[in-house]
Order: sequence, then structure tokens, then C-alpha cells
Amino acid sequence: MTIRIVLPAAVCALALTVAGCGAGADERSTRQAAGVAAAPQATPGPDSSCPNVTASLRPSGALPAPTALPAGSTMDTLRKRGFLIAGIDQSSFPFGFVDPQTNVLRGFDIDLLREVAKAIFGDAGPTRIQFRVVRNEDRAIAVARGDVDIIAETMTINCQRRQSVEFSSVYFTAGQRLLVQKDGVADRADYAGGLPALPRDMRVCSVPGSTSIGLLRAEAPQTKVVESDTWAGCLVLLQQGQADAITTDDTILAGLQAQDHIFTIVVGRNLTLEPYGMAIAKDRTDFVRFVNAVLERLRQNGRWKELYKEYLGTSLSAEVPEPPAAQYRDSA
Amino acid sequence: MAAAVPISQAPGSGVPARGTGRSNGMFRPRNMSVRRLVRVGGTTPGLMLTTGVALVLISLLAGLLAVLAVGERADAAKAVATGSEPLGVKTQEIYRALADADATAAAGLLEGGVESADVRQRYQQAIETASRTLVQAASAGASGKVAEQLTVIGVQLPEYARLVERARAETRQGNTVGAAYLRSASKNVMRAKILPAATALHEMAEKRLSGDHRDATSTPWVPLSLLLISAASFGGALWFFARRTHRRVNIGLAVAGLATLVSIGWLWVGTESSRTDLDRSRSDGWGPVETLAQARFLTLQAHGDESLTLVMRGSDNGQYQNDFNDVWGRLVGVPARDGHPAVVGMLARAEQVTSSDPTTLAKVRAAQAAARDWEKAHKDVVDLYGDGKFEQAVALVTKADGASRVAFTRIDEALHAAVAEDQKDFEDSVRAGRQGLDNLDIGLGVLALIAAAATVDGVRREVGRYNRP
Repeated sequence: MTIRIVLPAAVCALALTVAGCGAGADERSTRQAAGVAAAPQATPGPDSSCPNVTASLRPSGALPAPTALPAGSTMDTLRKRGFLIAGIDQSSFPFGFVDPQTNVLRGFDIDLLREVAKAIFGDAGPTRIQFRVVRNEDRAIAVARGDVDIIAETMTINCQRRQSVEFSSVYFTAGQRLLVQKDGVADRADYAGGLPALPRDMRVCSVPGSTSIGLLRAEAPQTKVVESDTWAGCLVLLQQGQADAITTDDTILAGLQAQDHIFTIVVGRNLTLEPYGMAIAKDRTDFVRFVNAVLERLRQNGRWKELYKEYLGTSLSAEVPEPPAAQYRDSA
Repeated sequence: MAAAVPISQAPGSGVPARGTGRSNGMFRPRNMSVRRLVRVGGTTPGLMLTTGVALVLISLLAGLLAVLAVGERADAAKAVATGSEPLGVKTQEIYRALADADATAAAGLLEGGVESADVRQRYQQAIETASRTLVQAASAGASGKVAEQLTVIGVQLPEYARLVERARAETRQGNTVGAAYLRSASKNVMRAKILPAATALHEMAEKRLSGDHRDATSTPWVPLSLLLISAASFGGALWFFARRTHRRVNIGLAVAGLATLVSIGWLWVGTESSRTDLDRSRSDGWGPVETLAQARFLTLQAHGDESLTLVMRGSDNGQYQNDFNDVWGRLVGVPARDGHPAVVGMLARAEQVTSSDPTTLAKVRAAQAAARDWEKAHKDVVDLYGDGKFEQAVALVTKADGASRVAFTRIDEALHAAVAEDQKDFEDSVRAGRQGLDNLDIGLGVLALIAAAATVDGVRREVGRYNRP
């Protein structure tokens, strides 16, 4: 049974991953009228401890051709150098990962970087990007210090990070959800109530130190928390019958679901909202505007949806959602 | 001879002529009552008889104890050669095969779903060797704690293999969860349960070997001292007999004393030379074998860690890289810094313990050279990985001509050859040590009987003179 959560269309556009967004307006209103699956809690939003955390710098006009980059700009410098240095993660399937069969780097984040490289160099050949594996906790400092030109690594835009780096516009909106085994007791439970409504003694797997496990412990004390040191490790526990559910960002869950797509399902509404952005040094505002222009083009020419289809498929929703709309501000 | 009579007929005696009158010269203690014996004991022939009995008893007892002591040592040396050493070798082989399987499974997964034939073969061989050796060790009459540890390994090994197969199957389908299965197999089963059991097993075997070795090489002080007392007594008796008879040396006692001295010399030389050989089996054989084997285990673990670092692709938060650094420090040593004392690497220790054996030393040196190459290659692996050049990093570790794999193989083979070399030294020395004890017990027994018989004969002849009319 698929849990459908009915949300206003505007939220639907933002929270792309929520099941039910593909449903027609009529169906939605009918269900709403019938009082089906009305979410008891407000949909979580982005970090509100600072104003407009997701508003990025507005692109300065249309995207220039690689041969017509403004002289002296960051992009011009990069083009002259010949390559982009990008911070990535190789273990975030399906955003940044090494294809286990070919040992080639792939992923939603990786392909976005290739699009940026293409906009600068005119091609995205293998020498155009020098990938650097940057640990999660080092992401902001690596950009601020200039070790890398740009980071695309499932990085949530928040106020604390905004103090040290500049973010692109939101290119993906993730949120914490649940992955359960199909055809078990777990998938027949009602997930509309969020974590507090989870069945008593349900064995939920999460990774110690993650924000997901913090929320789980705080909101669902009735469950039994099962720990694993990696998310894939949680899937192993689920498959070996030692856990009933996994909770973390739906982007990660999508990666897990894709590896066991017949027998697992991502359920429930977004418990948190994690807007992903690419991080760039604060003093490279021209590059931020340029990257935003690249993202804008991807949103409009359908490439974003292609990437979504390639890497997330139907793991989170039956249909490919609309890309998150960009929010801009004009000055740094 | 006539001169002896007045001396023997000391005041208050005069019994001998009567007492042994019908014994036609035969020494018959059975015919004497205790009272008579006491009375007789006071006379010269009586004293001679008493001395003779005591000498026979002491030399037989010393001989018996010497025979038993030699038998004990021979048994212990046999236990070293046929029991505890083969067990030690087996437990070492079990550990090596298991660590090899762990390292090779990780390397195999790195090659994507389909690993190269030689990697696959090495993994299978490692599992097979471990299983076979396990069965052999179990059927060799393992009991108690040894059987317990063997059971742990026997139960967990199929579970490990199952998880590795699942890891492989998932990876073949392009699922990154394969890495998590491998990690589960390696971390939760192999390193948490199987290898500790194998370590415990090996420690028990090593302890048993040490015990058997100690038993086989201890100096037999008790029989030695008894033999010495016995020899001294023969000396004293010879002196006493000579005094009382104004005669020459009593041939029987002299022969007995000589036999005792030969016993002492033979027992001392035999056990000492056997001890020297057995000690050499330890200093040039088993000791270096242990050190070399430890170095080999560290090499395998480092290889496994290097592969697992890549398999995990950073999701282990650098755990396997840290583990690699730790293992590497134990293998090649760490210079003193920040108040931490320097760590002597296992390879340096291997160099020390094999310094007297040029053949083995050359192999250890080859391993050290390969370790230096590996260190460079590993740095390249880490750099390539850090630069997202995953394919190239993997190639260094998995390809037959990859610098890291080549260096690892060189160390492993050099240490393997060194272990085999010292194992041979060990077996040769133990064989020599056992040969030193061969026939020693029979010889000592015969010598004790000779001493007793010679004593009887010597005393009989002497006492017999008193019975002549």
C-alpha cells in the first residue's frame, strides 16, 4: 500500500519527492475533502534562523557562450587553467558514487558538475574536472580555503554554512523519510503521523551521528533504534531481517530502494526539508551567478528531469517531479 | 687373605663362620632374621653386605629414575615434533588462510562484479585451506578450549562466505550495497569472531609447544644427583673394602662405579646435546617462524585494509585508512615522536631473529625492500583516490601489474619462503634433538643393571672369602 499525502500544489513543487505530487488536482481535492491522510504536523521548511537562506545570487543575464566568458572573471580564469576542481563524495549513491561495475564516477551531483564544466570549457571531457573527495565535515572549509572551486555533495543549505560559503540556487530538495520492506507488517502501518506514530518496538535503522538519528530518538522513543555505521549497512540489516525500517534523507533512501526495488518502498511524508545547493567561495560571486545560470538552463531545457530520471527513477515517486524553483536575491 | 681374618673377627662377633657356614659361599640375605642381620651388620662382612645392598638399591633407583627422566624428555620431544608443532603450524596456517580470504575478497570486489580468475582462485583456495586445516586440526583430537575455538571458526566461516557471496552478487548487479555486505562479512564476522578465535587457537598451540619444549629440555637433576651420590658411594665403598681387606681394588665395585660414571656422562651429554638442538629449533626455527608469520599476517591485513578503503569509497569515514596506517606502523615500525616511544616493526624484528641465517635473512631483506615500494605505491593509491581517479587507484591495487599489488605479492612471497625455510630448520633441529635421546634410556637401564650386577658380584666375592674354612 502506498501512503499518499496530500499537500498544496505550491509545497508540492518544492517538496518534489513527496508521493502524491503526480496526482491530478481533482483527485487531490477529493481526497482532501474526504479527510484522507491529512498531515497532522506542518510541513517542515528550510532553516529559518536567518532570512531567506535559500535565496542565491541572480544570474547576470543569459548564460554566455564558453568562448565569450567575461574577461577577468572566475570562469575565464578557470577556462585558462583548463580544468575545474570539484569536491565530491564517492559514497552517496545515487548522487556521487563509483559505478561498482565500471569503477567510473557517476551521479546526480557529478553530472551537474559536468554541466558546469561544459558551460565553461565547451566540453566535459575527462580532464576538465579534477575531482577531490571531500569528507562531509570538511566541505565548507574546503571551499572557503580554495582547495576546491566548487562542491556538489548533497550539501544542505543552512545559515551556519552560509556564513562561510556562498550557495547556488536549490538544485534538489530532499527530506527525511522512511524506507520499509514491502509485503511485511511494516508497510501496512500508517506513516501519515510521522515519527511519533510509528508502531511500538519497530526496529528502525539509522547511522549514529546523523541528524536523522537525532530526530528519530527525539520524536519516536517508542521504536527500537538499530544502529549501523553506514546507510548501506542499514540496508544489509533490513535485508537480513534485523531491521524493519530505515530513516534518513529520501535521496539516500532512493539509492537504497533502487538496489532492492521490488521489495522495499519509501513511505511517509517529508519529516524535514533539506535544500541542496552547490557551495562556492564567498568572493567568487560571478561564479555563483554563472552556476545559477547553468542551473536555470537545466531546469528549462529538460536536462534536470533527465538527470532525475536517470539517477532517482521511480524510487521516490511514480513520476519525475518539477525541478525546485530558484529563489534569488540581487546583492551579496 | 689370611690377614683379613683377625680384623674381621672383631670383639663381640665371630658370627660369620656360623652364619654362612652352610651357604656354600652364597650370599643369602633371606636366611637372616632382622636380629641376626643387625648383629651381622657389625662385622666386616656384615658391613660389606649392608653396603652392597645399599649400593645395589641406590644404583638401581638412580638408573630407574634416569630411564624415566629420559623417557619423559623423549616423549616431550616427540610431542613437539608430532603434536604441538604440527598443531602450531596448522593454527598458523588457519589464521593465514583466513586473513588471506579477508584481503582477497575485498580485492575481488574492487574489480567490479567479475573479479579476475587469479583473485577468485586465491580467495577460494584460502577458504578451502582454512576449512581443510580446520577439519584436520579438529580430527587430530582437539579437546576443551581448542575444540571450542575450532567450533567458533567452523560455525562462522560459512556465514562469512555467505555474506561475501552476497556482496559479490549485489556488486554484479551494480548495487553499491555489495560493499556493505563485504564490510559486514569482514568487520562483523571475520575480524570480530573468526580471526580472534584463530588467534586464541594459535596462542594455545604456541603455549602447548612452549610447555612441551620446556619438558623436553629441562635438565634431569634428580637422576643426575642420585647417580652422583651413587658414584660417590661406589667410591666410598671401594675405599672401605680396600681398607678392610688390605687388598687391591674390588673389581666388581670398580666396574659398577665406572658404569655409574658413564651413566652420568651419557645422561649429561645426551640431554644437553638434545637440549642444544631443541633450543636451536626454538631460536632458529620456531621463534623466527612466529615473527615471520606475524609479519605476514600484518601484510595481509594491510592489503585487506587498502582494498577495503577503496571498497568503502569514503563511507567508512577513513576507518580502513586509519587501520592501514596502524597495521603499517606495526609492520615497518614507527619512529619515536610526540612523547610516544618508537615502535620496532615486525620486519625489523624478523631481520634480528634471522640475522644468523643468511638464507632466511636474504628473504626478509627482500620483504623489506618490497615494503618500501608498497609504501610509495600506497601513497599513490591514496592520492589517486583523493583526486577521484578511482579507476586508476583500483588498478594499482587489483591489476596484476599494479604497483601496490606487485609489492604486496613480493612481501607475501618473500615471507612465505622465509617461513618455509625456518620451518625446515625447526624440524631438522627437533629431529637432531630427538636423535640425541635415542637409545639413551636403554643404555642407562643397561648400565644400571651392570652396576647392580657388578656390585653383587664384587661383594659376593669379598664376603665369600670369610666363609672359606
